Amino acid sequence: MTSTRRVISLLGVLVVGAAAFAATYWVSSSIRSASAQRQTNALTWLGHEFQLSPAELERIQVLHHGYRPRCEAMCARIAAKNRELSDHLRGATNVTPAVEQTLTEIGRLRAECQVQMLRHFQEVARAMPPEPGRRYLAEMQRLTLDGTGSMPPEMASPTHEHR
Amino acid sequence: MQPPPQPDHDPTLRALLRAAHPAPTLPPRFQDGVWLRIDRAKRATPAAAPSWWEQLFRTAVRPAYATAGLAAVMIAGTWLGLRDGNTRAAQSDRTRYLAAVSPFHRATP
Repeated sequence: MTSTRRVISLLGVLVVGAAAFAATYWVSSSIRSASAQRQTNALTWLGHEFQLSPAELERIQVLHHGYRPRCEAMCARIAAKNRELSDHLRGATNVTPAVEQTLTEIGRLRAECQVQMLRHFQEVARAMPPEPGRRYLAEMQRLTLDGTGSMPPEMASPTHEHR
Repeated sequence: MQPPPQPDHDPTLRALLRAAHPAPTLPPRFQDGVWLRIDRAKRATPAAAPSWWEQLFRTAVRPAYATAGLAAVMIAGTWLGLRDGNTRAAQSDRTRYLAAVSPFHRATP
């Protein structure tokens, strides 16, 4: 067998190996991810991430269901204010008093919403064992209340899931 | 007393031996042929040891090694894929939770 044929054959072996690896990786990753998502609800992450017992998760579920209507109401108010702001801004070339007032109200709503969220997070943290509770609270504050978080872009469209 | 004469010093015996073993006649161009064979032997190089990639190739194409290698690659792919799927599922779960509790949170930061 000539050197060229050997090189080509070796490359063929490597390509087959890489293709087998890629195919099994993709298939198993997709199947695992899809099956995990089918079996989860909004609280699944809490249970796994903070190693909660079924009883703790049950308590948190009660808190979560109690918080949900308030969150939905807040969500609707923010969405309404954003629509109002869009109406005021349509065709406007300067900041009118109406725009200024709506922005102020949105800021107030946002603060009110953050207070509600923080209270809920603290309640949930108290329903957990101390160490996971501390970790949960820190994580939630980092992800939702931190000024460097993703709040400003999301203000434009505050609709979100309620499950 | 005079020692007996040595056989190889005996001219008669020597002549007799020469007559009994005549010099063979060489085939034509015998000497050229000898030099040609010496020259060929000098030019012929010993078989080179196979290089590392040749050894790798020979190993890789053996059915037993090829099957084992393919199985190992597929097991590794499956294991890493499952791990990646778990990570993605966890991220997705976290995003879902955040979306459920935060009106401002629609995407993973």
